[in-house]
Amino acid sequence: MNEKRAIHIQMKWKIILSLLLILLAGCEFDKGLDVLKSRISGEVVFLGTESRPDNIDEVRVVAVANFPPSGLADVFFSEAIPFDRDTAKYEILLPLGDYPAVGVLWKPRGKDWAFTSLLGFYGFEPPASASLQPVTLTENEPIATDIDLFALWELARLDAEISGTVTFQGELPENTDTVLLAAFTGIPDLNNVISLLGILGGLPLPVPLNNISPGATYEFQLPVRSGGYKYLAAFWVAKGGFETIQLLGFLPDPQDPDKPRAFTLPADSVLSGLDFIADFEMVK
Amino acid sequence: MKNQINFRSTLAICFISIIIVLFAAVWSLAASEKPTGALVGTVTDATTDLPLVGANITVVNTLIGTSTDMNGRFQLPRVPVGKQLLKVSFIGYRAERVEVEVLQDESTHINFALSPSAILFDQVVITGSRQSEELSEAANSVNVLSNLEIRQRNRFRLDEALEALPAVQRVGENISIRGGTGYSLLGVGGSRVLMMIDDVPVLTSDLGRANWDLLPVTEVERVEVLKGAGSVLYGSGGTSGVVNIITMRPTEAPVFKFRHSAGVYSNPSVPEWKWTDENLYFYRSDMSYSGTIGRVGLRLSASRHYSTGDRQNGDFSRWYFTARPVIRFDDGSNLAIFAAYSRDERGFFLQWQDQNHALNTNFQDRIDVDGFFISATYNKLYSTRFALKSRLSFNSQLIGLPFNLTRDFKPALGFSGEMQGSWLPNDRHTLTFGIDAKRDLAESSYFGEHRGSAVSPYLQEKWKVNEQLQLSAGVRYEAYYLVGDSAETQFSPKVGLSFKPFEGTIIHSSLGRGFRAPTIAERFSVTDPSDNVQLVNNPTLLPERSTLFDIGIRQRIGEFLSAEVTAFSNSYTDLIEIAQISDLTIELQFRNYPRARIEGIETEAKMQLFNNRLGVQGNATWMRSRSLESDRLFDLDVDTPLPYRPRFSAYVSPFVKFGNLTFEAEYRYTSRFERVSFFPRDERVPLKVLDLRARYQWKRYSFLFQVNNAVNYNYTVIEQNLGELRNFSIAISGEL
Repeated sequence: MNEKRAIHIQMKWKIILSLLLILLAGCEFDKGLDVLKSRISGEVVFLGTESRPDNIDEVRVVAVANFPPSGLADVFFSEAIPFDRDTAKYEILLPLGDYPAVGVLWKPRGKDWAFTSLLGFYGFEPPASASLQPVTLTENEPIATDIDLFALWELARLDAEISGTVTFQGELPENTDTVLLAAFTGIPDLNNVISLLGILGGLPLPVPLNNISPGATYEFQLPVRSGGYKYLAAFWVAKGGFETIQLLGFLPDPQDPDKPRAFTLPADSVLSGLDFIADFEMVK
Repeated sequence: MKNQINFRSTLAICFISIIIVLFAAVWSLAASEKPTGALVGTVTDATTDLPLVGANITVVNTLIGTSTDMNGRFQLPRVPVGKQLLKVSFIGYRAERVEVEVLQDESTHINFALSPSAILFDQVVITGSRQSEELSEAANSVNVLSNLEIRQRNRFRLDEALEALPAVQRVGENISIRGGTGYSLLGVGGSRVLMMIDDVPVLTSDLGRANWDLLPVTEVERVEVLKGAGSVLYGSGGTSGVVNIITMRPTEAPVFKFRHSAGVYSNPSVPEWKWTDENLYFYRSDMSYSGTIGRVGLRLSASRHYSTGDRQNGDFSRWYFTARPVIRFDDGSNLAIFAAYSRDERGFFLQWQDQNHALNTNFQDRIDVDGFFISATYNKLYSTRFALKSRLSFNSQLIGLPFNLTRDFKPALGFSGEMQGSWLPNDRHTLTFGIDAKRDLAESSYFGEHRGSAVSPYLQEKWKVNEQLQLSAGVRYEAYYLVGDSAETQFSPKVGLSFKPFEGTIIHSSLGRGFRAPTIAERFSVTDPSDNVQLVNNPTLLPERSTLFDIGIRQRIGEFLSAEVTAFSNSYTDLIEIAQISDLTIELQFRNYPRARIEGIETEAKMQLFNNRLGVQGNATWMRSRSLESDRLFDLDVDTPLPYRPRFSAYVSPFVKFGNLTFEAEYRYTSRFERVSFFPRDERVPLKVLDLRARYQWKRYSFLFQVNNAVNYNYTVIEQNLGELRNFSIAISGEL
């Protein structure tokens, strides 16, 4: 009798278990992550191939979710694109959202990605226009095609060099992110950060912060493009981004120290003795 | 000057500690000459007759105790003659207390058959007090994972096995207890959970990392997870908790054990992610021999683990070897040695190519992880109330890092020594005291050559006020010196209580401080400009400090249901986290985080019905982590959640038995991280993983069929790194 009861109980369990398994098999399970359907794509048109530097490691298209970007988290990179031709197709997978800037960056061999290594951006159509065009991906329009970009190799050509010293005055503010030296082909408007990129003579040079103290002199060597320059200056950037970029001092004209000195650099030339003062008292 | 003062005060404290140890030793020696006998026997499962490995046997109100070997056997030499109360306990079984008569110079045989029980805290633990204590009376929150549970779940790595415990998460290479740890970039940041093997800290001397794969899980008798201020007795590293791995001991009779497992990975549930037409598989073999010849017990093991991985560059090949000789001496003392060597050669899947190629990667870095650890512990029981333990250990580890960073590292070396005394002046007081010292040597081209040393005395008192109330208090003074650099000092006090208002109900609470000195790598690492990651050094990094508080209740209802609920509030100061220090370039630096707090409630319950034929065990944790200050660099405002901390996590594991056949399921849920550090705009989903298994027990052999991630759910814990795909495996284990 007990044996019969035990068999009966076992049967009951087996039936319950089978039913549970059937129930499980019939369930629709959440699969979690899936492929990303939203993206931007287009073509990069390289201009001025003769100016292309030899030390290029990679070229990628980036989309930034905040402009100016406050860090890596704001930036989405495409795969590396071929740069030994006139045009290259690209695609960046992106979550839905607003992307105020899409640009082409190049990375010099042996150096890291830097947001200043810009070759062009969406809305930059030399020589006609240079205003940032945003891209927006929505539920209804998750794919943006034909986001074509012009990339100007001229912006990467660094065939001349300037050198000199910067003497610092005043105390380095605590909220300093970086101190930069940069040469411009025009007079920069610090209220319009994006406009600076169009007149930059080369990559800005960050000054190591531990080299900065009142009265300290920093010797610099700055690779730039050959051509005419109107402004060489030191800038202060506060933590939190480029909105707070401020002038510390510029290379003065020896005839009129209140005005910046202009100079011209032939290809493969080195201009030295460019000495000026950077004063942290100018930081507001 | 400050260093000199610290050094003098440390010396003074050390001196006092040594005097106390010597005094107690001499005092106890004088009282130790009493006639003794021996107790020997076995502990088995009452329902299956199979031996229980690692069951604890203690003589109540003495320091005499042991645990069963792989054959379920135990031996207690030098037990005072007369009537003694013996307590036997094992996780998942009903504890038993038996009075035995010990005869002079004779061996008294006694066998125990324990019945399965749903009581979670009928067991003995050592972590938290450095003494055997019943978990039901412990002031600390401690969870235990037994060898039986690890084997039954067919886990291969310790950190995988620990995920079944409440408030324990695996975040990349780190284990996080109660949200104490986030994700450290490439594993360069140190661990906030102190990993120990048989009470010996084994974090690497350079990176402060825990190598959770240093020894095979089959050589683990049990793992004790202390959630609370572990720094009090164990030193730097336990800012959020301690994981103490208690290893297997040699058996009296020779025994050969094995476990062989093999499996295959499914295709990804998203067809676009399929990256190869090759079959993706893995296999694992564990073998051990244990026996005793004369006075020497010996345990040897070897393991091999190979996997093609489920993703591009995800393959690995691992070897493990361990040896555990134990030499017994005439006077009842013993010398226990444990040595472990492991080598892991693998690809490093840093991140996916993109979300549409989630199993492909652009990084083809390969890394090697080499670990060697050896410790020698001399245990001497001078009397039933005084014991002394002395140990020496050596730890050599080379943790692999991607981007060829490790090529310029030398293995990090750690030497340590310790002397610990335990004294029961009477039935109500237990005093634990000791001093330990360690020396770190680390060298790499990224941080140069550094040497550090620490000397730390500690003291803890447990006071059994009455049958209901037990109080404990302890303090440790930690002094860590980096040669040619500053010193770090810390007093780590801790208090605790357990109160039994009614039979079956225990209220427990503890409050303590944790401490972690910055690691050599965190302070001094500077990468080469040609490396992919630009790391800037920070020699002025401050040590992390934590204040950990918890209060909880353990409740049992008969033998079929038990539960524990614990509320915790942990405050952290100067957490060391990686920060991007420039908006212009990808420059990173370890910086001190502003003050932060993590508070929450964790619950655990176990129920067994119908004579253990049906049961369920589960836990759930709710947690809130937040910054208490704003910080622009870390992009933090007040009340911003800390990265990589889930708000809610849960685990449930039901089982049903039909004779020798058992069906089990495990379901883990972790809510979507509110905040991550590197790719916060990437899509994130909660973790929902279901594992299913069927196990058949035939005599001393076990056959297992298992499906991990049964619904092939896709998730990431670390950004751009998919969780493991569904895999099917079979395993056979047994002994000859």
